Amino acid sequence: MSKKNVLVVCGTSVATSTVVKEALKEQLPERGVDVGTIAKGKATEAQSKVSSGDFDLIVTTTSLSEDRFDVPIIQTTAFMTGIGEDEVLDEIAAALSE
Amino acid sequence: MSVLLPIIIFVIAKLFRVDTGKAARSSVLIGVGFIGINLVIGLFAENISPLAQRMVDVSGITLPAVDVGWPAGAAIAFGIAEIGVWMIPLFVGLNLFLFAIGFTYTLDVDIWNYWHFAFIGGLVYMSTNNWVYSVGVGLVLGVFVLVAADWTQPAVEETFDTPGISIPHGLSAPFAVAAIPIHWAVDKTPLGDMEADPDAIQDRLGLLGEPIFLGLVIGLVIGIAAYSNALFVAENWYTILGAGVAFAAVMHILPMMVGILMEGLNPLSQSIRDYMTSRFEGRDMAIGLDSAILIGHESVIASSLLIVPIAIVMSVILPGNEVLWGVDLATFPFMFALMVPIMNGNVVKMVVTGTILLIPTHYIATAAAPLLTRAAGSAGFDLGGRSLITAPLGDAGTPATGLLALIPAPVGLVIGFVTAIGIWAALRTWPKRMYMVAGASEEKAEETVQRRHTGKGGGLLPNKIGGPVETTGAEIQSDD
Repeated sequence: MSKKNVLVVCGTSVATSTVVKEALKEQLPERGVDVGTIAKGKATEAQSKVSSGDFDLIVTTTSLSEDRFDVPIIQTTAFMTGIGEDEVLDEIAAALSE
Repeated sequence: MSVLLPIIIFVIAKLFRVDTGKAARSSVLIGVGFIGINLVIGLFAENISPLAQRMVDVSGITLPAVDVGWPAGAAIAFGIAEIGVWMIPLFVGLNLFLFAIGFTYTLDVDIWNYWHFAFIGGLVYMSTNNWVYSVGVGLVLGVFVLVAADWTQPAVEETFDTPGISIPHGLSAPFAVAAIPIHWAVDKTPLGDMEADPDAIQDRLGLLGEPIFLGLVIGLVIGIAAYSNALFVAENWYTILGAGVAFAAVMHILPMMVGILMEGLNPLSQSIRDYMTSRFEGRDMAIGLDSAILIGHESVIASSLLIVPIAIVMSVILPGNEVLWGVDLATFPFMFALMVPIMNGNVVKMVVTGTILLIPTHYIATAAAPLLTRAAGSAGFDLGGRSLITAPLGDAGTPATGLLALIPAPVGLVIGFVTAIGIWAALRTWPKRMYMVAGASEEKAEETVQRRHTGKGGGLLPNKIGGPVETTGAEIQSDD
């Protein structure tokens, strides 16, 4: 299985996306995902980042118009609220293992 | 600051039982973040400030207060030794108390955004040198933000599909609350009937949403204005293009550096979250998060793109304005986030309301610039001498800064406190009507009222003031 690249999107690419990135960096390897780069991006620049990068999945804390992207999108606030973190991690790991 | 702050953070982290190794790593990271931010601000001062000065000499456009944006605003806020991160334990305590007595339904676990309270407290400290008063003003903004979060929660939940989440945000909330009366007036004009397609706007202006492109354009504009009397000298174009790339660099790198600060705060933030939420298991609560989670909405993005050129033009034509737009041109999504439910995502109304709000914003940010500049010095940032900085959206130009930090003590605090308590009382007296004013549908408002404002609440304070909940709809008659 090749390394998987993830783009984490939020409003600023500073605050909530950092929380998600840290969680993914720590937890995904434990779920057997070979993680490549985890990049952060603002919602307004997500589209161009995706078109110029090689991402396997977008994890976003904010809603994105799905028809603008050809990469699967998982939207979650679980990493900030602490509610349902494990389920989302499983979902992300599953999406990356396909 | 790169030495003192890590020590303070370490102490606070240990207070909230963060593991020592993690606390140490976080503390150092925060110091690293500060050094990084200082480097970028230095780059900015070195490349842009001389050009801004030349622009004044050559074109007569006097905009001395350079916009360093919310990322610098946040770093300065946390960097003021006397107030800064001390706001974290203070506000956690206040929020727990207010939740316990039933004043608020929100637990604001978004420690990062306590910087807004530190920012306003820091500005006030710069002008009053009175610690108690400054902290008081910071906490009053905190109370207001909690009230606003409860007020907007049903509308946010409905519009953005974020169950159980509220948005206690120090930038978005004051703008949204101020937008309510303005929108009411705008809606009465023919503008209220206009519509714009957010998707088409995004297709055409999408590039304006990219910080590096925005930086390039604004850098070029400043460069050209500075050399408008000597545009036929090839050498000057080297400087002009250089200014474009330098500004793009600031826009791109500054948030990354602030991201390091955020990474450093992360373990503390998680510890505090668990500390707060575990205390009230089983009680009806809304988890307070950053409005960053609302910003992907198409209307937010479209409005933020449209208002960029409007803001630049306004800054030049508004008499007495001193704000030279920069980094905060990328911050408009935060101004618009909570307006989506109020205006039904109508881009025209959002942009018109936003434009009207930008008038006071320019003047508040102008008036707050000397205070912010002093605060930056106090937080240890090197601005390279005489430059004046501001952050028109985050937070030097918000209505909250205008009310709380610029009106002399103690009037500012009193007005802020009365406003917060007034909205709170209105929420408890006419909850259904208030939720609808913030943009909730009648069904959603009714549902929230049934859940929250009938029967006894979890705390000491009443969930409902006065008579029984007003009913305008028919559906609740099935109760009898």
